[in-house]
Amino acid sequence: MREKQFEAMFAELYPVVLGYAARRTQWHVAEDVASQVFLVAWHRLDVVPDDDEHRKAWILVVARNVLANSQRARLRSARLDVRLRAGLAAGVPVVELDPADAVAERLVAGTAMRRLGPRDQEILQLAAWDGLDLDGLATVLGCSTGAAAMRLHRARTRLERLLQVGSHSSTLRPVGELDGADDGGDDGDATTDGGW
Amino acid sequence: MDDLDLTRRLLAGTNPVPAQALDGVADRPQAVALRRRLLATRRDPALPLGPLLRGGRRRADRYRRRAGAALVAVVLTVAVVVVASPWSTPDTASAETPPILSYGLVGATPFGKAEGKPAEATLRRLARVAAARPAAPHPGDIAYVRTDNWFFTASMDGKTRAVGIRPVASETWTAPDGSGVRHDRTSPPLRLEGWLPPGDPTGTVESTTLPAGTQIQPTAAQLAAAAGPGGVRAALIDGIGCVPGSSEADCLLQDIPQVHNQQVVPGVVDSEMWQMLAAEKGVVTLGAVTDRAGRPAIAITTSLELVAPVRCVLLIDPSDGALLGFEQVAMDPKAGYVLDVPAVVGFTAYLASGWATSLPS
Repeated sequence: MREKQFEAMFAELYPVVLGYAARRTQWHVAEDVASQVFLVAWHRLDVVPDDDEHRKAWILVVARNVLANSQRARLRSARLDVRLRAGLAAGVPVVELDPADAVAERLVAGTAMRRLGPRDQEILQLAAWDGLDLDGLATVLGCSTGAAAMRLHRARTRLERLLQVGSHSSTLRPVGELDGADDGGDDGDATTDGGW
Repeated sequence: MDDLDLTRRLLAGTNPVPAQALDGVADRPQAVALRRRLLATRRDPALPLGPLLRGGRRRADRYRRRAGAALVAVVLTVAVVVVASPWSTPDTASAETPPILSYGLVGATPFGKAEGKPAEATLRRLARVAAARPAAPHPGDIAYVRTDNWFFTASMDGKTRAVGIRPVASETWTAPDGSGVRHDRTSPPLRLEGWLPPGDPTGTVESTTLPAGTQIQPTAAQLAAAAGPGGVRAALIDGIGCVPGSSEADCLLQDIPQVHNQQVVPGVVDSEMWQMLAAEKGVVTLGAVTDRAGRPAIAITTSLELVAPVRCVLLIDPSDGALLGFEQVAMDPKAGYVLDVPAVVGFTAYLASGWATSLPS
């Protein structure tokens, strides 16, 4: 019975966990993080929530902690990027430098987000990239739903303010402006590779 | 519209790993193997995992952080003992180079033995979607291309060998006569864990002015004027040439990125290139893959029987047939990299291309 429960959870949430980690670190590290997260989940099936949304938020809490621990371990043993240090000092895992950043940087919003504090970045990313609702944000961040809503509102406002400043001062044109076309990077436009 | 919606709108397009890029990952061999290993592991609900199960801290708490770190060390120790190195990929031949990408048709097979499958049908599908790709807006005649590149670098200092990955971010502006400007921002070699060494974090920028007539590769316009896939093939082989001893399939795979390095390649030209490769003997697909910029791609390369010392893997966007990048994998010690093979020795990601009205000042 436990095995069936775990297999169903694995099929549902492995992409969620791998995606969460891969958005913030290198792919091979993300796979390590996912392995550790499901090791934890396997041992603690007794505390995994039954309903879908809470289960997703629960496992992202574990992923967040495992990733932050992984980054802290590397902080002790390696010379790391200053942003990563700042994020860890604030107690949150952050998006590391990796090739994916180059894609994000071509978008003004991606660049502006990097100028926010680590906590602002985290809540914005959890909402936009990982698709968490306010309850999920509250669970992952360890606060009340009201506090999560307030934090999100403030972070979003600060991002908008940076975007307004950036639109007046940036000398770098995003790709879409160069060729006069939309960037085409919107998630909804991405095409799956299924069937190839 | 609430804050959640507004946030998602503001950050649309910034997600480095869209959900679509994760389709089917739970069914990939590595994930399946992980699931089996875990299911074969005796559960221990008494393991001290509490710190990993708690949500974010409401305030800084140094004591709790230290206690958590100690417990995590216990957990990681247990993890290593219980799950014997489940996350080392078998086809990473050398710890000194970046991991080989996880190709859908390679699975648990060592990359050096991965045959792939015939690519003809896949390439014809890619050719169809490429042909349907709308042309980029054309406000000027200056082709602009931006790439991120990583090259293997090794140096000897006495008995010590320093190995790393040297990142080069390039922008090129090319006029119709072949003249142009190239900006290369070369950063110090990345440590193999992916981080820059101490020192200048921005690297150095080198600007090169290219006079007309110095480029040997055919332009996209010349390829567009070539007579069909056969004409494209001849233009590539004649224009760029072939390393002696290499198969023509290998040469074509190496030549195609050279066109994309500086040209805005229209969909019809990509389409003819993929048709040409579809008819080429020894071209195989390694299946779906996520490239190093997090984008879904289809991998096309040469079959093992062609024995290329460095296997070039083209990564093609399945949605519009555009070339997203390519990987260089050393397959034979004769390639001269002094590495355990197979090993990734370089990769390039095409990040932007379009038409500009003038060269940069």
